[in-house]
Amino acid sequence: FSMSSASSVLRDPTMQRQLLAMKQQQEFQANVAKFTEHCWDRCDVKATAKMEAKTSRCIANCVERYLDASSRLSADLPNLLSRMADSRQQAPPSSAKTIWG
Amino acid sequence: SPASMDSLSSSGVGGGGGSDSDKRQILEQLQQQTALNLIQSLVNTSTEKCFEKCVPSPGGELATSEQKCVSMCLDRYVETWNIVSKVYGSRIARESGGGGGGSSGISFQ
Repeated sequence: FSMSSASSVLRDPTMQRQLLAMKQQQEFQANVAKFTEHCWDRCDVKATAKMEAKTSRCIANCVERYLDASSRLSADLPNLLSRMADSRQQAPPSSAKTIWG
Repeated sequence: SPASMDSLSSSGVGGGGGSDSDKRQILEQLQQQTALNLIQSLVNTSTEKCFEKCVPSPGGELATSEQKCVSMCLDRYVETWNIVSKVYGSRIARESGGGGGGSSGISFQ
């Protein structure tokens, strides 16, 4: 399978659409894996024969609140970034070393 | 070699070289690899979590109670995964205009 035929396959719009869909699926699954691990710990899920109702509620809340916090953060990000740029212009290099050193 | 190049330049729909079957094959292989990575990730994480939970003091062998614990733990981990997948999927569907219902996730039975 040569490089030139590989690049022409990738130029196919149908192929690109499907690759994009697969990429999105992959991101979705990666996030599910991340939330599962995090919320398993947060909600102290027990190794019992049946999951308690309060535990399944906790897991659902855990995911929803994480996403809320994430949206909140994204909304605040432009403001935060502009403040970072301002402080970099004002402060001399040595103070940067103090923070990160 | 020229022979393999000929087989790849057979007619394909939608422009570009490569036959439909080649494209399908590539997509299938990518899909398989993705699914494998996912299972791998699930096994690694659940093993770690369930070992922590069920085998606090590793002894000379795994006690029957510990084995049962690990088994139930795995069931609960997969259940957690399914809850997360459903909630996250619904949230995405809601936020992208409410169309299409259901998650695009994989659910483990």
